[in-house]
Amino acid sequence: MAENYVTLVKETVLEVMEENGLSPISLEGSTHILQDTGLDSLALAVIVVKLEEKTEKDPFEEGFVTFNTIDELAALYEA
Amino acid sequence: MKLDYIIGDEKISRDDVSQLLDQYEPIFKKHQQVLIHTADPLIQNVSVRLCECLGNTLFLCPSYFTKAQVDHVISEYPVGLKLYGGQTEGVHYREFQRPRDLRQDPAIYVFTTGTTGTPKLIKHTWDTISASSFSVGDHLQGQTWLMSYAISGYAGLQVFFSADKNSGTIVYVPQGGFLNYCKSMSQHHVAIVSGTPTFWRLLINAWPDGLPKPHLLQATLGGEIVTQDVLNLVDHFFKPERLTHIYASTEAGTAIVVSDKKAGFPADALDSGKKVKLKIKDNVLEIFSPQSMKARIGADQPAPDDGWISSGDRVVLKDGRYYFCGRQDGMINIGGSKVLPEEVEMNISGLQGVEDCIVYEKKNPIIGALLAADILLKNGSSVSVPQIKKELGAALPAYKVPQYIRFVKEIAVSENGKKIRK
Repeated sequence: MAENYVTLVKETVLEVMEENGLSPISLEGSTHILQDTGLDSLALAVIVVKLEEKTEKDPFEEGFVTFNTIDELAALYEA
Repeated sequence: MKLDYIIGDEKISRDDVSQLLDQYEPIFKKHQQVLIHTADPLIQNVSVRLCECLGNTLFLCPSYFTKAQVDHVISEYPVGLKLYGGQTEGVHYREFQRPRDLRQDPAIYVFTTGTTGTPKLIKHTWDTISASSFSVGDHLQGQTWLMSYAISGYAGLQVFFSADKNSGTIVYVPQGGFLNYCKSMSQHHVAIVSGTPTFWRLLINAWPDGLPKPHLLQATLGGEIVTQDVLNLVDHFFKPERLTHIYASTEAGTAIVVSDKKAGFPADALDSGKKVKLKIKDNVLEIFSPQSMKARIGADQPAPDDGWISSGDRVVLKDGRYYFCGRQDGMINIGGSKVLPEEVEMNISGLQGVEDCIVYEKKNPIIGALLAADILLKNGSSVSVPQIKKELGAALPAYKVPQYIRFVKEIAVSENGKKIRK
């Protein structure tokens, strides 16, 4: 199950990188979504919206929760 | 045999209508104020005709109203007769003991949901509600009209009165998608169609290859912003004898009629010397009209004392014409910048391969709010998100380019053929 969310986050990050004209890179669980990809906070916002659509879950319902890496973001959806 | 209405497959002649009028007249005569709650166009039309002719006051509840909403109206106003149901499930009525009020002038009350969704009750006289039916041209007498609007709303009533007072036949299309509209228009040789730009776009998109198009004497667009794209689309597809776009509202009636096949309206319409007067205040259109409502109930502001009604629609002046650019109250705040969703929609809908779209605000934990767009592509076209962002970026400042774009299979449309704003 956990692995599924990591895969989903990776897919979504790549999707948004493509939408923003960035060349795809190889993503790991430990990849920092902002620092390592060239994405900005606006793109990060889009990633979160897309994940909400795909998982039908909103871990930020109660407010913002910090995360940096792909694993950390995926973990929020596992809860 | 002269037909008054075609409802699905059912053809209703003038004689059928006369019979119903005779049947209901006694009970309508007993009461001063009548409330109708029906999805059945025949029952509604018979009721409207009777009330107008007998001088009753009529409350026209939309068919989607719940019983609680209807009961609320009855508790607020001295309604003596409630008529509900329809031909299929049976027409029922309830009578209430109400004192007759001799000072009351006959009126018709309609509900408007506007773009925000809270129903407002708008009071018209029988003259103001039916005013535009008297300007229907002689060449449109006895023609066949399409009903594309909810029957109980202001727009639907305009079609009803226009057809009814000009010996027309009205075609009501059974629910279940735009293909039904295409087939009915073709089969019954509809000659006069009025609809929203969204209605026309979806109608043309759904039109099957090979289905004969009716010869339209009059095509009218209104209810939403009319762009040059959609005017051209309707003009090329149906080649109507006359192509008109109108600006009207439940509150103000029909205020602007444009027939030069160009979007927007000429600036000299502001001082045309006609009965309907227009002015622009803080980029918002204001209207003074003899056709306007007599009262607005349950709204933030009552009907204004001086007769001028603020439309809430923003306009921009460009090369001697005013163009509508969105609702004053629909403005979206994206990181401190104001965005009119309609402006962005007009740009997206103009892109190659795009059928229609809706732009809205999506709350976001990271940056507060995102500008989002749902896009419906034309059949068989494939456009990517990066492509759309790139093309929009060339036409609009960055903050007006939706960050979140998704492709959808349909755009939700209200009973009146307007896009439903989230």
